[in-house]
Amino acid sequence: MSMLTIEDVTKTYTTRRGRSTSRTLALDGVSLSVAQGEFVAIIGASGCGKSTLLRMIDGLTRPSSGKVLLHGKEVTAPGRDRGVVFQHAHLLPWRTVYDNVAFGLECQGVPKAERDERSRRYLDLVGLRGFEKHFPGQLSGGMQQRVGLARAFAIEPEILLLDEPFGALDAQTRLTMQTELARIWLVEKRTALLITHDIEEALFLADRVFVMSRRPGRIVEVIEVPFSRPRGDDVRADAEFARLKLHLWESLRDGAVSDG
Amino acid sequence: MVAVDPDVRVGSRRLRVGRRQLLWGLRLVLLGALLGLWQWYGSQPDVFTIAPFTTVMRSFWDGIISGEFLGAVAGTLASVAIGYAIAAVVGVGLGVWIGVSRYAQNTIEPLSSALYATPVSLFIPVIAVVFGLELGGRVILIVLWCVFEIVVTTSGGVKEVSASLIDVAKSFDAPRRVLYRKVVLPAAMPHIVLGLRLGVARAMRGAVTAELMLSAANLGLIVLVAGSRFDVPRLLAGILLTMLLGLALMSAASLVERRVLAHYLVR
Amino acid sequence: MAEPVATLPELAAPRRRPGAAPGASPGRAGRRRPLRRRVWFQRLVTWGGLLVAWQVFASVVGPYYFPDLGSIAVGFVEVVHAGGVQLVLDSFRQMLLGFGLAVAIGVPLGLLIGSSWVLDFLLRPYVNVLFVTSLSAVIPLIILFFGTGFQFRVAVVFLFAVFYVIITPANGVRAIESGIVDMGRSFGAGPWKRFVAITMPGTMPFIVSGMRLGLGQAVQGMIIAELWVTVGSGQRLENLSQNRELGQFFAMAAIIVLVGTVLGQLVLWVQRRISPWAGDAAAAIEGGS
Repeated sequence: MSMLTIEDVTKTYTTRRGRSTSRTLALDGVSLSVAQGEFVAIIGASGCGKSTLLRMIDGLTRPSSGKVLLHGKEVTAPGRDRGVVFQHAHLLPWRTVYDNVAFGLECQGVPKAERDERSRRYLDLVGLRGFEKHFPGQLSGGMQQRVGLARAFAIEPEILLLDEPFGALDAQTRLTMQTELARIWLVEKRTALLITHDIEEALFLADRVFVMSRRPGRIVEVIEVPFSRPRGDDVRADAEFARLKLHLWESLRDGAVSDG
Repeated sequence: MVAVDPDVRVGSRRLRVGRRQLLWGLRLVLLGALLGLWQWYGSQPDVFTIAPFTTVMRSFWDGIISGEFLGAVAGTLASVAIGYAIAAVVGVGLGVWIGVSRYAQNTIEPLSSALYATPVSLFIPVIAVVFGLELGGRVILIVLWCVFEIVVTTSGGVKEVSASLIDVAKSFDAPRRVLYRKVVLPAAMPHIVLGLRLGVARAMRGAVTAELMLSAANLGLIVLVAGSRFDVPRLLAGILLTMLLGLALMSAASLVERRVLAHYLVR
Repeated sequence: MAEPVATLPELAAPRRRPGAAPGASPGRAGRRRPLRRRVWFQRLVTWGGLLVAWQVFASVVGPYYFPDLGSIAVGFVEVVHAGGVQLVLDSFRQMLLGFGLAVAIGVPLGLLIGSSWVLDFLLRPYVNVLFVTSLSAVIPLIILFFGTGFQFRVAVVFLFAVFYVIITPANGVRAIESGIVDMGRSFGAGPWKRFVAITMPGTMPFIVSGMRLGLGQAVQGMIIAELWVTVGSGQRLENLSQNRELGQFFAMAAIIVLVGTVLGQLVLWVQRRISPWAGDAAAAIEGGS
């Protein structure tokens, strides 16, 4: 049964420059569904609208037409049932790591005792035990993202939304974090939607991968990822992995050409 | 059929249709309200320290007609021009030197930073005594008032010129003069121009201060005399004139800044 | 490449003999720089040279126009003896009142302007006018309002300080990454929570920076006000310069600068304690459009 349904969503931006108005069609009839406990990824070139889609699911913006439904109910505003991991962790620099993880819980009015318990648990889960009293400025990019992950996990959302979470990290850290995320996800098993432009990342982490065309964004293909979990790093060397990667790459490329 | 984007609060400044006009309208309304308040308050029978807006305007007009205001503006502008020119040349020169020279950073920069932090008004009595009250003293005060701003901003900008830019030029074996002209100066130009623009405001403020505190002259004279005579309309008109001159200079400076930046950045 | 990365100051470095390794010096690598390259040496030579030049200039021009170093030193003693330090401290104490008022009114106003596009659009022109106006020109008007007593001095200091105290927090609110605000909304933080948990701590370094900038202007206003009506430290400065006691004058000015600097450093220290994560926030922000 589907938890998240996106029905024929479009999004048009109107911008004014001086006297002229221009309309940009960012998303053009996107439909997809995500089942409970599934990990899906959406890949697409930069600017294809995938982040816009994520913001819609999070309730930060509304579709121009079409619907975004969570458990059958339309999404209108941010809420405790969705947790976001941002590309730039957006940690509060004046709070310690611990207080940053607790931030989401505070916003949702979770009582202190439970906040403490959950913050500690999820900090542990992402491998940052011992860093509670550090400040974000003292952490590396990868560690900051771990805090972002912990923060999103801590509110125990129905669906986890990841917006190019490792895009700002260097290549090696990215690989490490992908492995970490896979490990964490196995423990927590939350429904997750990952937005990325990294094809390997999508293949490594997701159960299904959606390919989005260039602007105006549409879903042009969806594939099932056949690898069983837990997935170790050896998956990356698998022949099927390489084949799928090439296939997705061609799909992406063609999606760009045919929808100008 | 694609629906038009409703006004969504996504943290960006997308303004709805007509919102810009509305805000400008609001600005005018605010201005009108303030002027109305001014007029009303000034017209109160027992209020002596504020003259109504219309009376001030009349005095302003009289001042223009009689040529006094324009003469004063010319005088102030002249001293601003001289002082600013000196400060600009000295300031940019020093600033660039500090920016490129480790030696200057060690020895000169602490001095200029210390002077930047010093209230220049402290030296008014000394300038009066040593350089005299007239144009010479005023020009010195103007220079002191704005030169450190220029030095600090310029040196900051030059220091920030990316080392990698320098590396690229050096790898092409560029001689030092070319390096300065083609790499360092253009790269630092936004900061230099910013410092020069801020310097204009300071020079203006310094000029009027000098005309009030060293020797009464030009705009300062008008204000001082009106004040001592309790001629409130003229006093307010004089202050208004000072404000307008300041705004005009700043607008001109911003314009020049934009032109220069456009010239340097579009290559 | 074994060469060290070129930095800007190296442009001024003296030419090296071809074949000599750039940046290296004989002896332990990087440790024994030539004497003329050491900071303390350069400062010693240059500042010493400047002092010598000062002395020479003073003796040529004569004590009537320029004090020599000796008379400045003597001046210090005399000023302290005549209660100059107390005078300066009194002036500063009074200045703090006007400054405090500027902070109390300016900071909330600045935060408000920074938070609201509408308010910013409406009020910015007036704030900019404040920036370009020579506040000294308004002083005759202030005298009409407040006379020439204590209230007058407070008003002048207030006017001088208020601009930076408004504009820096206003820019600071804007400087808080919009991403962080978005993050807050995404986790369901309401407007009040966002203000308390994001805006306030985020703008704190800017508030304190604004205070530091405003303090410098407040001191300027204090001096101008006291020179204008000839009281306090301003009166003493005026007298000293008219009596050509230039040595004492410089000493007095130095004391004022010293007290001002100490206060400024105090505010800087407070800023570092309150918000250790922010650098010098004021450096990034400059007033005026």
